[in-house]
Amino acid sequence: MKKYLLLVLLLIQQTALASEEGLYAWWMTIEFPVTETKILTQSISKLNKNWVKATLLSDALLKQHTSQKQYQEFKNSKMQFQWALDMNNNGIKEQFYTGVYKDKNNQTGKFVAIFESNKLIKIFTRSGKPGYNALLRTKEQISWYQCMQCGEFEAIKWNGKTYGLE
Amino acid sequence: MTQAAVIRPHNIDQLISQIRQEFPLSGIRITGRGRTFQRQAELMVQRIRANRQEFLSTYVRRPHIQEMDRWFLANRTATSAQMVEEFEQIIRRAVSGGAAVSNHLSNTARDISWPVGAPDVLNNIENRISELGASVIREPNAAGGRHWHIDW
Repeated sequence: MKKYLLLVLLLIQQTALASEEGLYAWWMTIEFPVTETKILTQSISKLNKNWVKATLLSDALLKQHTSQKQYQEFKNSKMQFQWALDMNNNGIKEQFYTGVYKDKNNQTGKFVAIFESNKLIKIFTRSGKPGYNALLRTKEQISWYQCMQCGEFEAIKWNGKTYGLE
Repeated sequence: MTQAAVIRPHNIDQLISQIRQEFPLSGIRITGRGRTFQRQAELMVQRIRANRQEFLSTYVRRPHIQEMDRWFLANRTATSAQMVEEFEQIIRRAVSGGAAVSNHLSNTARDISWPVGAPDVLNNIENRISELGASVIREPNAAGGRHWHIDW
C-alpha cells in the first residue's frame, strides 16, 4: 500500500513537472553561473591554461537554481555531482568532480576533474553551455551523464595507466 | 480520445510536442538528445579539432580512435561536416565489429520521460508515435533512469 502511494505521488510529480517546464526537462535547459577563479585551492589555470573561471557543481548550487520539485527529482535519481572511488586500485580514493567552465574567449563548457590526494590527475571537457552534468556509478564504471532519464553518457575508464572516456 | 489525422511532423521535437498535446496527462518531457552515431561523431570531431593531444588522451586507445587520428592527420583541411561524416562511419564500423562504443542507435533521436499512465495508455502513445513516423524503444532498466528512446 505504502509503495503504491509513493508511486502515485511520483507520477503526480512527473505530470506537474512536465506542465511546469514545457517540452524540455529542466536539466536540458539549466545553465549554471561560472564564477570561481579557484577550485579546491587550485587556480583555474592549473586545470586548463585557457580557462578563466569555473564552478564545481554541487547539491547546494543546484538547490539555488531549481524549484523544490526539480531539486527533489535530482535527489531521487542515482546521480551525483561528486564521487569518490579508488578506480586505479592504488589504495587511495580519487575524487571525481563535475563542473562548468569559461575560457579566455568566453567559450563555455562542462568538465569532470579527477583529483587524488588534492592533486589534479585528469580532466575531461566538453564545450557547450555550462549546463547540467553529473556522475553515475554502476558496478563496472563511473559514467558522465549530460542528462537524467536518458542514455547520453560517456564511461570513464581506467586502463591500467590512465583514465579515458569510452 | 479522437486522434488527429496522420500528418508527419517536420522534426522529432515537433512530433514529441504533438504527442504531449494529444496525451496531456502523460507528463512527457524531452529528457535527452539521444545518443546517436552522429552525435558521438560531432562530439569527437569537436574534441579533435580543439586539441588533438587532448583528444588522444581523452579516449581509451582503441583501433577506431587511432583510425580517426590517422584520418584527421591526413585530412587537416576537411570541414567539420566532412569530419563528422567520416567519424560517424568509423564509429559504425567499430560498433559492428564489436567495439564498446555502445548504445548508439540512429541519426536523429530523443529520449523522453517514461509516460504516466496504465499499460494501455502507454501502448496508445507508442502506437501514435509509430503512426507519426518514429519508433520507440522502451528502456525500463536504463542506468540513468527509465525512459523511452524515440528514433526518428
